[in-house]
Amino acid sequence: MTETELIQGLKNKSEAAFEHLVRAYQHKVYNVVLGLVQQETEAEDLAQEVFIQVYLYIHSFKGESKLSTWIYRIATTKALDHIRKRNTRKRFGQVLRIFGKEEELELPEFNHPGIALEKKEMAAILFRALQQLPESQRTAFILIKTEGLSYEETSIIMQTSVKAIEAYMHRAKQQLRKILTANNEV
Amino acid sequence: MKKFTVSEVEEILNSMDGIQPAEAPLYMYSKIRNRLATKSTDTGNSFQVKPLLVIGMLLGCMIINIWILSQQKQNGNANTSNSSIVDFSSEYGLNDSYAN
Repeated sequence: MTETELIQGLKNKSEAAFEHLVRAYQHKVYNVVLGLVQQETEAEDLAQEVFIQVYLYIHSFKGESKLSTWIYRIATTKALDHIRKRNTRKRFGQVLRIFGKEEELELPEFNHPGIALEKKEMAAILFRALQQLPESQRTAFILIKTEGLSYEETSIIMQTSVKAIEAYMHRAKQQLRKILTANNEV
Repeated sequence: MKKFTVSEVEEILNSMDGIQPAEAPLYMYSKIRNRLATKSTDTGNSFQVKPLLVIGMLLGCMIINIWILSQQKQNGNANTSNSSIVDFSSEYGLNDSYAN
């Protein structure tokens, strides 16, 4: 099935086209979302929501970019929205704590399933440090490092220039070095 | 609390090299179809329930408002008529029995 046929099928609400889309993109979407939210159950839930959004709003896809770019964009937006909501809950939890109510604030240590065993401990530290980066730097880092996308592909997904992505990556590494060498809880 | 050395930091930064993409959990497609089916059922119900609820609440608010206004009007009328009679009787030095 070509991309044009797939998009047409999706616009016609074809079950076969939708199944083809999910099977073709499920690992990519899950991998990106997992890298950003760092929690398996939440990532699965969000990945499902991404496909539901694609199914419901395919008529708004104008074909100006590749379908994969559009799907990656939905996935990153959903994941970042989810992180923002989680941070709000976290701040609210801190307020509740002042009034004596205990809330689960911290995420458990995240071990990405695709990391080699000998690097798991180090990668867990890196994933924790990534949570402290600004959204744009974190998104660029995850898309490039975990999904293996090029700077150009990342720039199209993030709707910015390649130069901006290079800057995000440079600043992300600088910031990570600072976080890891500073006397911070990582 | 941990402070890493420069070489440890570089090791941490390179720990994602050679990472394998994570695989989505099994039965993703079936789960999505289930959610879509539930979503459409939910949407159907909410379309039937929500307007009814909103209209009911609006009617309730209107009835309460009308009742409060009519009560105020009645009390206002009673008070004004009563006070005007009292004023009239006191001004002309009439007996209290006229006022009541």
